[in-house]
Amino acid sequence: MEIRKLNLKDYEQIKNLSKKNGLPFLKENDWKNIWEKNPFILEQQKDWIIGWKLLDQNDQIVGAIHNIPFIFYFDNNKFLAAICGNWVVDNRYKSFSLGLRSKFLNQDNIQLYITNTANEISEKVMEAFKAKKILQYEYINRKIFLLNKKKTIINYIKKISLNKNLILDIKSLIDIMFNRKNLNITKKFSIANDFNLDFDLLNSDLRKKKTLYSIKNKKWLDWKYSRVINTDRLWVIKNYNGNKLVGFLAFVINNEQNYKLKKSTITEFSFLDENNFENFEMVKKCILISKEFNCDVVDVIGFNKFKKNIFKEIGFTDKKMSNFSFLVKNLSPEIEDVLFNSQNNLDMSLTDGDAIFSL
Amino acid sequence: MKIEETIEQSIHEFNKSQNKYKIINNENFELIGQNSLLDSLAIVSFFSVLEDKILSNHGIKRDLMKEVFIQQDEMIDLKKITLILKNN
Repeated sequence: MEIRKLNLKDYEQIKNLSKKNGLPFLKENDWKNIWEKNPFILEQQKDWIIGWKLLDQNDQIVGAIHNIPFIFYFDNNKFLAAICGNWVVDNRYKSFSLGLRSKFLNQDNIQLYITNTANEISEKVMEAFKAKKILQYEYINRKIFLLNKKKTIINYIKKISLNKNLILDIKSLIDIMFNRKNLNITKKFSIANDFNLDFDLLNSDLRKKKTLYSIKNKKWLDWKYSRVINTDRLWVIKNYNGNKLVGFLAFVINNEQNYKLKKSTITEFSFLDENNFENFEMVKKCILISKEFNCDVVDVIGFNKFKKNIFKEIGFTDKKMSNFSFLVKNLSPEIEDVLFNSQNNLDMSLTDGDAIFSL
Repeated sequence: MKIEETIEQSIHEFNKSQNKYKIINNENFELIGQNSLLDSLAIVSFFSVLEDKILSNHGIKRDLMKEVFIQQDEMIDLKKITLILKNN
């Protein structure tokens, strides 16, 4: 058995291995674009290792892990993060899976190691390698807004209860059935299916904030959303004050296989001024567009307490996730407190890890 | 207390903690390798028990995940674990 660097030419074998082990896998171009179009690799580190593969005696790939560079900012300082994904090992070779995870978690010059799609096993393995769950207000609670209440409730009840607690279930259902919110908006937003250069300026302003966030300039957003950009699956609601972009909300429309629902997932929600009532209206606009596209549900994972309260006020309800999927191994003391000791400020979401590639 | 006794105690405690996997106290027992029957979670759990036992029996805090995987060995059996613990 041997662990070697993964190569873009390994696509077919990795795809087959992943599918054999029940993992969804990207189309070839989408998979290659994760690294071929990544701004950090293109501009700074062309020899970035895209992942590792486990080879058996016949040189066949029997395990793999992806390694994706992300840039984060906090207080105008830049941090290089490695995001892991697609950790898969054939059952026969399962004891070797930790070797792959160890390769990922022991690279040079990486400040943050992140996964935000951890299942119960990878959660425990990451913790064994000294990664920790982020401390973020109610990260475990997904927020949902039902557009097709009847269909969604029937499908949820068929599958599993909303919470694993009967009283909370009943409360959630009552909230959902009788919580009618006013979705009127006064602001005329600019709506697009892509990102323009105004995001570069917005990102420069966001950088100065004491919030840890993954970079939001045009080239990084273009890369992150390359699978859905300029399609009616990606919607970007832009809030301008005059000619200046002061906030935006992005969401991705997708089909939820588990519950057979058409879902819109809010992946980005950033703004410069917390007190601007238009932040509420961006969420309402997202609901209205989702309704136009016959989505059954709008959902959100993550975001800080302030944003979560916006969703709550608009009528989103909680759905507890089965496990805590966001873990970080941090080697930068200056962001240790932000990640693990200040639950009301941390603002992580799907866009800050590999979850963004599985929408 | 000898390190071998601490390993034996850890094996006993690990085997008692679950029914799915059984570690046999034999120096050739493979934790990681072609003949290993353990999955990642079982290995992590065993190392965690072993770290706790080393701390309580010997007063030393170890990071076994780091120490074992830095070796990059294809096969890790109980003999190698004993050597790692004795040498570092």
